Amino acid sequence: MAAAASGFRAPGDGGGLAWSLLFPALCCVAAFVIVPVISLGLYSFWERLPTGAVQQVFTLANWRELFGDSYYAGMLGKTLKLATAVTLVCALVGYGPAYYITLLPPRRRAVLVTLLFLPSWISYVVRSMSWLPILGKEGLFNSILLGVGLVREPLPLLYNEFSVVLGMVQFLLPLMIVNIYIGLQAVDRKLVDAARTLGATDAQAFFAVTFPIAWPGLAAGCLLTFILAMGAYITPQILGGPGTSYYANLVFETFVAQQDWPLGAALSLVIIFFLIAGLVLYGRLAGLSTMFREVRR
Amino acid sequence: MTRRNLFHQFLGALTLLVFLFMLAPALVVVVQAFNESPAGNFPISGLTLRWFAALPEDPAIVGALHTSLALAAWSSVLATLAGTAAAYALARFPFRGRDQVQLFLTVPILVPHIVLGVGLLLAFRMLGLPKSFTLLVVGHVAIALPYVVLTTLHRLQAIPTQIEDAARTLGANRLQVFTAITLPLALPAILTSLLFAFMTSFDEVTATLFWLPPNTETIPTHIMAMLQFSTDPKIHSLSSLLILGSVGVAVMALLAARALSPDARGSRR
Repeated sequence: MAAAASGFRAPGDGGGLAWSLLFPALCCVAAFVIVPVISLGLYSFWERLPTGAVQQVFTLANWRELFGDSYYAGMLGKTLKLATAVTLVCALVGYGPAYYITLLPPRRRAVLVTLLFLPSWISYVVRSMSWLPILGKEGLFNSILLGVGLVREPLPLLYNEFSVVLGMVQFLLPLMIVNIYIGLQAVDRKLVDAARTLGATDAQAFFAVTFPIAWPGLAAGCLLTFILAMGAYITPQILGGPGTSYYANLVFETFVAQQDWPLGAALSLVIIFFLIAGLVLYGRLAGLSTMFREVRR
Repeated sequence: MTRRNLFHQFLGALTLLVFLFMLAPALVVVVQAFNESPAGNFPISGLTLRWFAALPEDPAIVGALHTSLALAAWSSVLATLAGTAAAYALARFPFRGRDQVQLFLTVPILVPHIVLGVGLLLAFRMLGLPKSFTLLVVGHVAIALPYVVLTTLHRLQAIPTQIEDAARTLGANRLQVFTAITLPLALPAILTSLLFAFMTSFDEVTATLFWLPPNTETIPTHIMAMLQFSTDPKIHSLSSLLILGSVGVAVMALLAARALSPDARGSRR
């Protein structure tokens, strides 16, 4: 402490103190995030005996099953399609509101940014199940549609792909808007004004100045949305039906119902692989330092 | 000019719809909590408080609430202590590898909870450790930590270093500067982090399903069970209390941050 206080200004000083302050947090991530991923790696190469017990003997059987059985590839493909659809919908629907918030006067902007964070305080399970009384056979929408005579039979809005996509978009849209908004904050209004003065239309100024400067935010939003949609377990579980089970549900079933831990580990690592690929791509395109920037109200 | 106005009006309407889409479904759950009919249907057949009154009489719900509160309290306090220390180091020490450490501490936000759930369970299994309350706490600390680091770090970076430099010039040592200057200025963010970590832990369900010791439930896993194995009418009253609680805590965080922030004390520039 004394050494730190006396030589405060020297660059690199206090390194010991810095690392000791970081120590608990680093241990926590290492022990509870990194070590678990390593254990997934180990388990995925271990043998599962017919009795269900796991033997610590090297085998490629789990990976062979994952790549050999077209059921897993089909499940993965279906989930990637879902994640792509959810990401596209979130980006298309979310860009307008994010842009609109930046145009508002400070007070109203602060209110909307605060409201934007409100959903992330509310339970994910509750947000997903809130669609049940809305989309059900005797739910809000169908009772309105039947009431005004637009339909004779209640519409099948629930327990299908539609309700799963809707639930996921509702869950991920706030994250997408926040990230696009963070990107847009990096745009200096003076640059846009300069473009306008030089004769660009609003649209030209947007596509030549605003969009390219703000795009790391959109990219971060897409990465986050895609990965979280790929790993979403709760939404399909609550809002999906028999035919709308996705990759995370498969992982869950493999672990819990079939108790096949080595295969489940291999299946989980595929999600990590997509996460790392996404991060590498993002790092190349936008630079990893642009991720998780501050939200100003 | 009018064309631009028209476009802005369109954007405004779209924004309103999007916010309704994100927030209004929760209101439907609150409405259903008062519905006399147990099935949760529309139109509402009559109003009752019966489903709220039945909540404290259900021992499973009371037990789950105890578990959830204890878990959220432990994990949010631990995550806030470790996260604030780390954020302070990241914000105030120009050590080598700072950017990489920051990325390392925040990137777990991107890992889907199903992977965190099975991974930590397998790690515990490999070490021969049984499922326990401790497993739940450390898992929830790992989930909440990145949010604490980010929120507090952003706040610390926004505090002008000149204030700390001035205190130091006047003879304060690092600890004195921290407790007299930095900590009070960062307190709103630290408090927000603590409350957000608490709610994150209280609401976590996917990973928790893997970590729960036998015969233990948290409120969200109990709601999942209610959804899958029964048609318990209390589900709407329980969920709406959860919604009101979450919104209440969020508002509390906002008000506390306002009241504690130096801007509110009249030094607004």
